[in-house]
Amino acid sequence: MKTVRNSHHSKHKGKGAVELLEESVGLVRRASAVDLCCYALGTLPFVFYLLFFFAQRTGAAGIADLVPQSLALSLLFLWMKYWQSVYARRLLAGLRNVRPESVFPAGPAVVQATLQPWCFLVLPVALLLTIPFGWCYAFFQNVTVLGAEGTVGTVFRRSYRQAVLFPAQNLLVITIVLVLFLVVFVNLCATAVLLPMLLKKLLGVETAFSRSRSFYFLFNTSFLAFLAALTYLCVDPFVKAAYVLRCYYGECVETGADLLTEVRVLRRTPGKTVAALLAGVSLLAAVAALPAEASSGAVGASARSIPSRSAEGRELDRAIVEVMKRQEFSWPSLREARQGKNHRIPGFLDPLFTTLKDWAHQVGRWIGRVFDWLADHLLRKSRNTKPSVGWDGSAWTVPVLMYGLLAILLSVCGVMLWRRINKRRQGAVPAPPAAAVPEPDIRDEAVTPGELSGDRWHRLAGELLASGEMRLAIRALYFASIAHLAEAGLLSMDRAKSDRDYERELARRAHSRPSLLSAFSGNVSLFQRVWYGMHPVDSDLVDTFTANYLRMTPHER
Amino acid sequence: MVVRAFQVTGGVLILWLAFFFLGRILVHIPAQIDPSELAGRVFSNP
Repeated sequence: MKTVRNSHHSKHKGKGAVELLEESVGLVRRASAVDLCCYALGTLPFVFYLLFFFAQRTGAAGIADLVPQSLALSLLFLWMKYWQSVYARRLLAGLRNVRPESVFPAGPAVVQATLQPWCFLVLPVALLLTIPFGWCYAFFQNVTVLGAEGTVGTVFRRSYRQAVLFPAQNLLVITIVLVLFLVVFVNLCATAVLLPMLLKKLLGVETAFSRSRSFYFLFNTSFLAFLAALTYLCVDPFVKAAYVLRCYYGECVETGADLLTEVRVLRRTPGKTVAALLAGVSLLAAVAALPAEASSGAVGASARSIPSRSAEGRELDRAIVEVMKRQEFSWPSLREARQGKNHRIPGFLDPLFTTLKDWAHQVGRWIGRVFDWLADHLLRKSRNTKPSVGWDGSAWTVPVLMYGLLAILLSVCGVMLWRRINKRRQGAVPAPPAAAVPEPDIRDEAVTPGELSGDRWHRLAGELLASGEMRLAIRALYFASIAHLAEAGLLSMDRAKSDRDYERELARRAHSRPSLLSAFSGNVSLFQRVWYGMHPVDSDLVDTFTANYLRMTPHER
Repeated sequence: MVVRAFQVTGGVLILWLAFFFLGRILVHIPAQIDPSELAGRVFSNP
């Protein structure tokens, strides 16, 4: 029997985390193609759409498509959870040695749709608080596993019960899975770097990745998201299988489901039934004989009841009874000792906990000693002082001291509060208007777009146009567009950056808006012709430049 | 039945809000990280 129900050790620690993960790998390897198809059917659409969503949203502005996209993503998430629940249920059925039932869409779907969304609220908070994260994570994994086992309330209760079972094992599983996730991610990154290089070297196949200078593609956030998604697809089936095993073993501890599984195995293999029956009969005989040997009183009674053949025989019986009374022959302790040897992985944390407990006790003892010393000192001091009129010294010194300390504490708090309120009041007084920033000389080559805001460059351009300074107006308008784009977070201004640098940066950050890119590129080339070249500035050029500028501004705001 | 519908609608609403805010957060992540720019930001003096 795999699970020993009467063992306290097993109840508190469960299997080792590494052993559990190894079993989960075996479980996934034994899973049928249908099981894995169920998983892929749910997970792949969500992961692909999430990648599309990621690529669309990074660096984008506005929320025009965000509402329908996020709704589609929500529905795909529920779709994924439903099929993951089906996958986990099929694995669990394999463990219980029963045929997986046909899929009933309504039940598990409602349970998943009701409970799973809360993971987006609960898990971040639990992660922030750190300690409850393990239980919360296990709870939502259990909801996936046990999703088809009843109504929402039943699944909630059972998932909670299984989540609090074997906490050390759960935390170790999460830690190992996290490490595994990082290792797989790094491996996939290495493959992404090496594969194009090998293709180029060995087969002469040139790809976009091999053309990229100094692995620039590795800094593309969509590419990194793709690798993370691929890692999730590699690791998650095993995580689900691990939680299936945890639920199964938890069930075994509670209900002895493993016995039923064994019986089902025997029922399905008739050839072994006879052997099993024989084994069962011999086991029963052994169990019937065990109490007679184990309990000293019973043995004594039986020894007395059976007529002894000789004095040596009685002596032997008494010696056996005395030996059987010893602690090491009590069978539960034997089992516990045997299991302690088998469960090394959870055991390696035991010395750590023991040391921490010892330290905590030591600190507690030190604090106790300090309080004892304080009490002794104060009481001795108060005993030495002459008693005041009507009061005994030991009765009033300590309370007075305590009240004094409390008064000091309250005064400090009051002063801090008063200072804080005062500071806030001072902060509320409107600050004097900042001195107006003088306008830079637009003729100066050293002037950069960052010296004025976009609106002020725009105003300056208008003034220059009105005064007929077309060339300078073009430069001011060009600076206005850069400043506006920087204010919108699409460019970062730097004195060292050239016009082409800005153009490339905008192409990276606003790749989803071709009209903005074309308008900016058009203005860059016009500006360079006018400012660095000898191109005459006529009204047509100014109109084109202004039109491009106006095409850019609606995007920014 | 009504309770179930309410539960499912609530769940979808929570998911919708979660992914909506995820989309809003993703806007602040650049599509391409410029390593030199990143290094400049990390190592430049304020």
